[in-house]
Amino acid sequence: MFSRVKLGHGVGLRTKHYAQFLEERPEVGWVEAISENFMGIGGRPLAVLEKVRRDRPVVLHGVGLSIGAVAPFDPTYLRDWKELIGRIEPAMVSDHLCWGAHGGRYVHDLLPMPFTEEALEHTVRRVEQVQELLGRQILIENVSSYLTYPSSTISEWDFLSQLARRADCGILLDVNNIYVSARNHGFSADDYLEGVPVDRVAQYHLAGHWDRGDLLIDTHEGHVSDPVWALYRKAVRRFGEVPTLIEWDEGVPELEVLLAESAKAAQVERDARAEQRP
Amino acid sequence: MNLAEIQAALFSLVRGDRETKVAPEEVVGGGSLSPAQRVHVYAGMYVARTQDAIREDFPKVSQLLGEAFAPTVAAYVEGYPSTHFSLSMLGRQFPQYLRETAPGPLADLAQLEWMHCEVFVARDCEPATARALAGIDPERFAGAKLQFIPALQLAWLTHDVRALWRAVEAGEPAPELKPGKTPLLVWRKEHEVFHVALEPDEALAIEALQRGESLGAACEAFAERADPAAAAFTAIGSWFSESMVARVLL
Ligand SMILES: [Fe+2]
Repeated sequence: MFSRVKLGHGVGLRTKHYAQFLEERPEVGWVEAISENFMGIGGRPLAVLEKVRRDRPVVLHGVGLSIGAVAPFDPTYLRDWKELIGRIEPAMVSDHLCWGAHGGRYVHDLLPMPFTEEALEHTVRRVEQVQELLGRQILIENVSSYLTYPSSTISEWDFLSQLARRADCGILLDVNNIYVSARNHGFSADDYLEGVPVDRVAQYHLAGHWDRGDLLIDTHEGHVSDPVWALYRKAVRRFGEVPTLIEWDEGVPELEVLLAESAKAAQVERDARAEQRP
Repeated sequence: MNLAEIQAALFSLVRGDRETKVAPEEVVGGGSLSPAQRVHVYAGMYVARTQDAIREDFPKVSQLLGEAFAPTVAAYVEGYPSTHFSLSMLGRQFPQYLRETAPGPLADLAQLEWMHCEVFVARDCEPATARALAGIDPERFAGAKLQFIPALQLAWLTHDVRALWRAVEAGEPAPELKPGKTPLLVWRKEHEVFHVALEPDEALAIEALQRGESLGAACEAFAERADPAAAAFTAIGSWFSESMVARVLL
């Protein structure tokens, strides 16, 4: 069972906007912070995050846990992460369904998992291990991918859904990532949405991507594309009102642009909810 | 292939390890793009990501390297693979790498840039004020120890690169630097990071305190001064006024 929290629409806290966030305290439902950027540190970044936290909910989103790796967790990571969580008291804690570490080394990437029974079993155990350590549930996010493994025997959405059920964690549904991977691997984004259990989805991500022609790349740059808005509308109709984040990490725009994109998501959500009612 | 084999193989392919024995098609599926092209997407992103990380933490060195920047970073990450979960730690051995491959002012500048990075985000600590010394019985003063804040680092560089730092910042041509051991102190006050060149005796005194020696022993470093006591007094006073001291231990 995963209990959802209603937070509305959020934006990421990025260095470029620190001063503006503190001075103008913009109206946003919540703020996302990248866990690793604030773990085991002090100074201005942590001070800004703590100040922002006083005004509104913060969710911590990780990129370095490497939940699917066969490499053991780094004890320093787990210690610093837990410390930060204790300090910030985030509304949600998440990381990706991926791996990026091997043999004590890191490529700092969100490499896709092979969707096999063995990998599922492994990832379930790892999520359980983390949740036990933190004493709380986490969300696992689907990533954009540019390759698949011939050894995969399960669909991505089935893997993610089984993981959430068996490890009893939440799902962070990145709508842009679904679209990007669906196009890259020729599966149906609608099938993906239909395949994910409604009660597990606790957060949405929206972002821009780059269409290279033969491949879509998840860049987190620019506006959310029209087909991704359309998919978001479908997601809202299926999963309901779920906290939504706009991810814009490359060519970070002025805060006003980011807030306008977030307001657009709120509008799309309202429209989708209205269509849903008889 | 099991999970461990897949990860070992793809990891090495993405990193572009020379000793990689597995071919992309043994691990990755094809389709509209070949397995090699798919691996290449990730390998290319790895290169871009590592370069961005180094450029962000070493803006001045990156600028001075110019066209040599990309191959230098590629050789660095091959020789010093990332062993920390945070990409922001990728550069921690970059100054060392430059020292090994191209000793000189550039390696010193890299070290200074890295010290700035570490000090900027070092763990917080409320600094002690000079009042902490005021209450000490003069007889016990020499036996007292000082603990510096975590956001303070001292390094002996082989060149005084402060002028080079300023020149790059101002967009001026790099000055010719003569070799000469220079102790540079980098610390954070409020949220801002500063660096300063120290007299060698003051640097030795700080290092003695960092090793856990007493104020009395540390201040022997000032013995060569005309008025050693006054020199020690001035130095200690400045450490407190610059928020460098965390605690006085008796
Ligand atoms: Fe995402």
